[in-house]
Amino acid sequence: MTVARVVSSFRDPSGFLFTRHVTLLRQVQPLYAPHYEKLKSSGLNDALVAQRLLVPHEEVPLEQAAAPGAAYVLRPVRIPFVSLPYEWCFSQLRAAALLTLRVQQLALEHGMVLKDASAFNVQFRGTEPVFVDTLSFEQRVEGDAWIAYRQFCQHVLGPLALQALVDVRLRDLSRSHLDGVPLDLVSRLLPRRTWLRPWSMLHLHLHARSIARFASTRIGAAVPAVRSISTKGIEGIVAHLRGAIESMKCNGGNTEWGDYEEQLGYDSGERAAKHTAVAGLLRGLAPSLVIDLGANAGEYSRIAQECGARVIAVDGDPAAVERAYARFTAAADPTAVLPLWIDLANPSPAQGWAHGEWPALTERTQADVVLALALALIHHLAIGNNVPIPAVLDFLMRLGRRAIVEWVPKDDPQVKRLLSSRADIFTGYSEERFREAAEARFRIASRTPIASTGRVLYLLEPSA
Amino acid sequence: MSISARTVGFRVLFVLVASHLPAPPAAQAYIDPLSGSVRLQALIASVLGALVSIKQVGTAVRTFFARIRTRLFG
Repeated sequence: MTVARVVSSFRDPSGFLFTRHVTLLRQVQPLYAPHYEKLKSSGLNDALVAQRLLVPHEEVPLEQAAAPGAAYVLRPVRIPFVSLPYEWCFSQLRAAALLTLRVQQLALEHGMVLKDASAFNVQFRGTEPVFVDTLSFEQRVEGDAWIAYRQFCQHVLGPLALQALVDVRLRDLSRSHLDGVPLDLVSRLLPRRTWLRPWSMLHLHLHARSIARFASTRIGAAVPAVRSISTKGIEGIVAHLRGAIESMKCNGGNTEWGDYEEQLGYDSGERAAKHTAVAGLLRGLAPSLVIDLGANAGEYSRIAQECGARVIAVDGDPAAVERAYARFTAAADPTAVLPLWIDLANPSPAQGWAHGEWPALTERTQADVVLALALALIHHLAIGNNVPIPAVLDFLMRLGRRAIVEWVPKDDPQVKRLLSSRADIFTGYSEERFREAAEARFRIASRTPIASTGRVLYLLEPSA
Repeated sequence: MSISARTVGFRVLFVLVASHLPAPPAAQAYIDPLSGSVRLQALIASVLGALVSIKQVGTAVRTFFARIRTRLFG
């Protein structure tokens, strides 16, 4: 039976994640056993799970361990799709931040504290954030500082402040700074007026200066002793951070695609025809997991959800993803659709230590079970980004073995708009070429024209 | 509340002075960023913790009078 350690789980000596065949397990090392036992005996684990703040787990026999010497082996409930903080929109990072602070507050009330406050410790079940690292808690020693305070400010508060107060596109700093955006950089990028707000002055600007000041202290130089920090004091910091984050609003709401659904080129009859055609295909296929590429605010993700699928709704426009997140947070089942802000022309790469810590987007979808939904997408990649049609189809294959692709002809108003300010160098952009490329990779199971739009839905199945 | 506001102002001033205002150098390798983070916490925790306590007392007082009002006047 295959046992493989999860590569991203190597930093913490408390334990690690591994897979045994397809089951995800967590080995707890003896070093962490007292803290894990306190997590159980204090009632904190039960309280967090009951409030849907922490992913539940069950203990399994020690024979299941990946390496000798395990204190416990846990089987956590698996999250359907692992997303990364640099794929979240502002409101998702904000929700993850508030969840972390809620978890920390409950931990303090149970005599424990979060030793890690990395944004990577939060995952999303649809739109619902959940803390996933059971080994992030340790027994609180009265008087000690909150060791994860800097990490929280770098991973969450700083990036949120930059997005809210400067520009939402600064989110991408988190993609290059996997241990959080350095606070001296956050401090330099924030406007001067943020010195006047207590939260940004204390937790970001002065925090950055305090780090710089004491980091440059010479070895052997006299350093003033640190005063003891009460639990009440840490609760005060947590409450102050919570107030700051609750007051933040997304900055970057007016983009080209934010109100795309209202501005669509085709009339309501054509739109209804496309809905019916897409819903018909999805109902027949009954996919368990759909990745909706170029999902905008989730119009077709909702149809896929209504057909019983879990959906990852990917779009490159932050305002559209914000709208999708708000829409599916308010849905009857908020755990069905996970919106993500990803530029498909530059999707998340493999990152971190040895290129293996955080896998690329294509490595995180289980292509065998995923259906890729590519509606009104191909012209953006082929004409907007000069990606050859065969390369677009290769990318789709890596995400899902089955795909529904909407062919958008060159005389479509949206394509004409893309070509309006540039020379038409796309001589290979034709349905015939698309069909040839599709047949070389998939089996074309059906071809459905959408009313009189000239657009066509292709259902692509794995070739035998 | 005015006393606590003054206290906050004093502490903030203290932190400003204590942390020196010149811009910090860009982060370099081989530094321990935890030390500065812990020291800042030590400075701000007592003030922010006190604010939480004041809020809790305020809430308790408001709840107490609301209960009395309900009992007296239904």
